[in-house]
Amino acid sequence: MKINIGLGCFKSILYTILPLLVVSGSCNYFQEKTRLNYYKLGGFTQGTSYQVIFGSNEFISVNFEIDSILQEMTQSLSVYDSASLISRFNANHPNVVPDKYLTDVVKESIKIMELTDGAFDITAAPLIDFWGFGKTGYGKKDTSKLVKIRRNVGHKKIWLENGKLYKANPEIKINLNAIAQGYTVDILADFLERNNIQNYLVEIGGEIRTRGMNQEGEKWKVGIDRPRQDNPDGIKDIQTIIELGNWSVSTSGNYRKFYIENGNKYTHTINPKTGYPAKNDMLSATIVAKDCATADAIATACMVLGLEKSKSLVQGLKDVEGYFIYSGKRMDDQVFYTPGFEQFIIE
Amino acid sequence: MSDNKDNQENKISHKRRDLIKALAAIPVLGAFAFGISRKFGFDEAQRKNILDDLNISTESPFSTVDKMVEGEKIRLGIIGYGIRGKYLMRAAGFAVPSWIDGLKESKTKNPNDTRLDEFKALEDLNIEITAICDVFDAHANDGIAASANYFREGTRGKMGKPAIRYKTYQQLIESKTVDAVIIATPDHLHAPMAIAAAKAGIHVYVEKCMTRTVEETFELEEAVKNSGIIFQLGHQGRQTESYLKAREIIQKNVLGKISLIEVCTNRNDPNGAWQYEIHKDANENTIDWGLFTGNGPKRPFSAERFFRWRCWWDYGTGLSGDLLTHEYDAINQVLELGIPESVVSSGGVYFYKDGREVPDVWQAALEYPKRDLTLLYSATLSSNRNRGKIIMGHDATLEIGENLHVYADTQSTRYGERIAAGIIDPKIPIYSYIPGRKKMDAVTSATEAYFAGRGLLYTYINGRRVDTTFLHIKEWLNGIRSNKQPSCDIEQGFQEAITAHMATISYREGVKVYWDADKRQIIRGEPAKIS
Repeated sequence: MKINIGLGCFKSILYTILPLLVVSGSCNYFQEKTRLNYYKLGGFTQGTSYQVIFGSNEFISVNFEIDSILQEMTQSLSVYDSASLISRFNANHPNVVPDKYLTDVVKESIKIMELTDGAFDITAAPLIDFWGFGKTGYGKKDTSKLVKIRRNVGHKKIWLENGKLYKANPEIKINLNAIAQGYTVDILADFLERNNIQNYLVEIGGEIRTRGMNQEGEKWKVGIDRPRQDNPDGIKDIQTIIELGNWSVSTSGNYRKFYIENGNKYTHTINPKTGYPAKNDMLSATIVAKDCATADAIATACMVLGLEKSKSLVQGLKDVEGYFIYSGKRMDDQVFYTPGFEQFIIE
Repeated sequence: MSDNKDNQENKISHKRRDLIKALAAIPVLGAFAFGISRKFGFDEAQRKNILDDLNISTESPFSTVDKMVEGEKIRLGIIGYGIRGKYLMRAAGFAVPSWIDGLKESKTKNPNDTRLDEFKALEDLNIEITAICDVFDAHANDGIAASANYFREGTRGKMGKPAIRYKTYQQLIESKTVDAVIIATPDHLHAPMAIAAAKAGIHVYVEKCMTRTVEETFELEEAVKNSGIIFQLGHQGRQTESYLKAREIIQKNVLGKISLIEVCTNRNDPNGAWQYEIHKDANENTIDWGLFTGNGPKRPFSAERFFRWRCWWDYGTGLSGDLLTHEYDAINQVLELGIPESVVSSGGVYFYKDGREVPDVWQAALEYPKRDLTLLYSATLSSNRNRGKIIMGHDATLEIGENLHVYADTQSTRYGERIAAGIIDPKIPIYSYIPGRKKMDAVTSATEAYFAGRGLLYTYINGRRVDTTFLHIKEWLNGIRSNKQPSCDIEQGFQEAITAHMATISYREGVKVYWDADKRQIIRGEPAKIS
């Protein structure tokens, strides 16, 4: 490589050094507490916002790589991008070879589909489309069409073999939205760790993974949203605050999409196994796990399973804890959390 | 890749560009902005700290909450104890005992549930609820129960004197038992009630849209101005910290000349589309249908129309009066735009084909030629895509939501040199303001961010989340005690109502609608000819 030692090069060096010095100087407050400078990146990906906050005692440039990773993942996993691998798979394009991302996330999905006995199911999109959530609401659909739709739904209808992804028939489509954000969080976290960043928070659309400490030298603090349904303007408030060390957290919920039947409140979550809306009392499920893909997928499954089955599921899993907000007998919000969740709660 | 982009990439090496992008990333501590260049002896453009240059403070615009103004206990009447009325009363510290029971039970099971403690700790606003009026028996009875709950107790707890229920609002106003009223009824009843109250010298807090028609707007303005009462329009967004910070940024001309503002509404669930739950006890015997319809068209009893009144023009003002008003008020408090010179709007019922009349997809263009800018509003009730309020200037763009960000424009005159030098990256905010984030680093959530993002729910004071409705009611009560009009007074309400009605008329009549500021008249343009 030729090195051009001209004025332009000199200026380039100065420009490179200049901002570095200033940021170091501007973060003295943090340095005194943690000896680290903290940086935050943010933007939009996969139809939602993301943020990456990280601390480092030396400057590391990560923006470009993070942008690239997010772009690659969109090209692989996004059903909104008609040219993505998943869209091409759904459209039955020949010779779709899944990349590492698609392979990994499908593998993880199949694992969780089996673990949850189909409560989490990436083939369930046609059912959700069928039930929708419009003016006709629950109970007013032509359910005779369900028989045909259900033939194309099920956790045994897709499989990976010799590096390729197969489906039982061409009508089958997959949608990874209930796990892709969590999985992307994991990929970004792995990238940061490969760059020796030991203190970070990665968040995509409320799915979060943290490691180490925040800029105040404390464990990362994450609020769990509190659902309320009793006024038209809704209420967004914090139910509780948890402290995460090296854990991930994800919340799934249908806070305001509910209906009343015989005095009971039910959420509009479709059970992939039955093909019908799940009649359960769960308003939101927050799952803490070591990796965010697991937290994301299990949280979704819990919304289908309801409180009692979710308790059993989560308590049977290692390194997985749950915090559930459900509708009580008087249609008021109640909370249950697994014993292991208590360690995270700070207020 | 275009030649232009190639050239740019040649100017700034990847490494340096990445470095600058990362440096421009935002350290987080409640409020933050970054300054890049300091005294390094280079050219003038690089020498100044950007923050100093912009002269924006990183401090919270709320240093302290306004203290309660001392004075006599205010006797309050509640007209309309439906969904909104119930929420307003709770914000003022009065809740039905069964609601407290629920909080207690929840707290028993989860000691970390602080809702009960927070409600009990609400500042005492030194009021008593002396009168209730609601045409639905169940709502009225709940209102009475809440009014007696001075001590914020559950069932069988100590109660105080309950409010008296009045069958009509006229009876309530004439009862001499109230100093002030909160009006939280459907839109078509706002004006008659507020006018009657004003004429009786009773202070008014009324929900938006404050009127249903143009004529009512003039009448209410006149009544309030003549009476001298303290009037507050129910826009709790007035208490939102980000808007106050946005005002500071605009006043300091950080954005340069502003030409276009985009605001929007996105919702995607039946509740957000006004398909509210129909109460199980609702029937002709429990609802006084005649009082509900008021002076409007006489129609057969309909529980659907009663609870989902926003879907029909007889009672509501559609997206314009319900939701454009939120966005308009946010921008109006920042930019003081006032009534537009003209409005064109269009839309339709494209998703909720449930017999409603008001559109569920709708947009309006509000023109301000004297300010050389357009305010564009667009809304859909069937997509939850989150879009912020965006104020576009020649030098920078301001995005306002729960957080606030300023991005330099790629072709900015003011920041051009810094952009060319790679000191400012237009993709990264040159200023960000994140209220109240000191306590939490992130929130895990599955709910829509719509309400919170629009400052409709809460704001932050010294890093603590505070209900904006509580602050808005408190500001009104303080105004009553100190004889001072609050932030959303009749003048603000008049501007907003006229603007909303211009937009509605444009949609319903298919015409461009003008405002003659000198004559204070709405003028309809000619309908577009279809050749």
